[in-house]
Amino acid sequence: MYNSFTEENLQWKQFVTGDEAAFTEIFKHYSKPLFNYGYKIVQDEELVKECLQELFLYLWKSKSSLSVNVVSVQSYLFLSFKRMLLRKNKQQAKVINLNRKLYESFTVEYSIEQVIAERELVSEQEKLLASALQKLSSRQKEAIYLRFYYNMSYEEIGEIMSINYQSLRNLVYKAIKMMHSHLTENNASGENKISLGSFMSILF
Amino acid sequence: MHHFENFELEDFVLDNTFRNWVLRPNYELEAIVKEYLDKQPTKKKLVEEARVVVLALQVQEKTLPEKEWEQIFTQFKSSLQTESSTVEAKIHTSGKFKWFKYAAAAMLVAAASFFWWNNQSQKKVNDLQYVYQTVYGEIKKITLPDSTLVTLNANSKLVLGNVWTDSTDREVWLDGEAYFDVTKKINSGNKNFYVHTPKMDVQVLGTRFTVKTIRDFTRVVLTEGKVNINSPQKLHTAILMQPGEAVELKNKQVMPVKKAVQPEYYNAWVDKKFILNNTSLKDIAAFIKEYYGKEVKFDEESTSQLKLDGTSLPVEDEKTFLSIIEQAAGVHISQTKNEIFIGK
Repeated sequence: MYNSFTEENLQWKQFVTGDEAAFTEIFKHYSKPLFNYGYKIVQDEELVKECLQELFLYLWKSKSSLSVNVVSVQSYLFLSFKRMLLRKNKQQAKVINLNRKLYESFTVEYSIEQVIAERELVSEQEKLLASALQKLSSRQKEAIYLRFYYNMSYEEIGEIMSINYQSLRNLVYKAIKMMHSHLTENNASGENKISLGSFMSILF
Repeated sequence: MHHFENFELEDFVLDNTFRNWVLRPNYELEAIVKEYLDKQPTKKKLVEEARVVVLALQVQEKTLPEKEWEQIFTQFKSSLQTESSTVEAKIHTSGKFKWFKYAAAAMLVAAASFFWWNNQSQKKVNDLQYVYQTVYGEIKKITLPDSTLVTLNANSKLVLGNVWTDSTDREVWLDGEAYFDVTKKINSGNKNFYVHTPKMDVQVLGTRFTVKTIRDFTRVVLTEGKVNINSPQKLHTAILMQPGEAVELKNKQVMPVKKAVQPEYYNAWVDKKFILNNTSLKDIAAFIKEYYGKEVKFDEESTSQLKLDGTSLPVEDEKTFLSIIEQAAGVHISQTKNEIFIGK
């Protein structure tokens, strides 16, 4: 998502040594992606916006103690943001809820689900895909989202999700395999005709 | 060996090249997939299934209105300023020499990390495509890895397709309009610079020029140096261009047309200017559509025929631009969010 890997690391280095312009660029590049990511962890627009400001203010204040050599600026920011959001969300929840899962959910709205909700005529295949998507776990959704939308490597995603490389790969591969088998097994006729015409027209 | 060799469905879905083909196809990606399917026709079904999975995994993002983002940015800036003023006060109290010591240490770390990210970038570059993009009303200056300067016009996209090393050709793909000031490579041998568009491939021989490719219109204007125009579909032989020439391809034309032009008229946008040279309001309307992304309507045909001459207009601020046109042409301009109405 960034212009280049080198540019990103250079900017980070400039920021850590006190360059406000570089820091502003980092904010500009990451505020929207972080908001999008954060909103999937906590569906509270105000809280996500608040955390965004707080994260960057915290970074600026503590820049002298930050490492110049951060391996991936992207995963560093995503992980810090996630932690902050979860902590704040916990504080905000006045009612004590010991169900930890609540804090680790990842809610994604897929385009196809919206298409189905808005349209009267839905093809058999679109229904199959939507039901397959519902079977994905929170963690599978998160991993695929980070991989697809931010071009993150497994190493970066692993860092953000605290999971090792091999488990992460399995997690993602399983998710896609499941979707694939859903798509083919449920297609009764041997002629595997796939058309997503109406769905496509919304995407483009 | 083909990039997709031995790919299973999961590999396709997770592959950047493949996903780009599904979501942002261009002729280059089309060729990669076609080459694979020509060799492996039995994989057609698998490719189609993978395509469907990629599409199904498209996410609907929660979007905030642009105004709100402006507020978020303003708040960010103001909290920075409050923070900076307190930090400055602290620095004044510390000794000069102490500061110098820290700076030297920081430089050492910086030098070490330079080596690190230099190596790292080579590895990463396949995952991260280099994409430069502008929105309506935005002109961006970009320095490419070889220090070639590119000015990207509004609503345009430039993609660097491969790793740029000393031994490879430099290749970019353009959609929209861009002005290039290409750095000559020292000891270059045959390391060429190519600008690819769907209908023209521009082979650069060290030079300054503008390429525009919007829908069915492609044009190259050469200011300095030499370029060769090739047909990606091999529809014609190479056309060598001289400074002061333009090569244009419209609609379904096969052969590009070459003509003599004054490049400064075509490159004015690089300096964020629009030159009026016996220019009709109709031409200005076409510019407004391309640059600001707004549809222009006239009260009657005769208004669109009005011509303006003799000056260059700043384009950076839309309001200023329109108000100058309004005064110079003696017309009345009103606008809604996506439409501009010009009447007498």
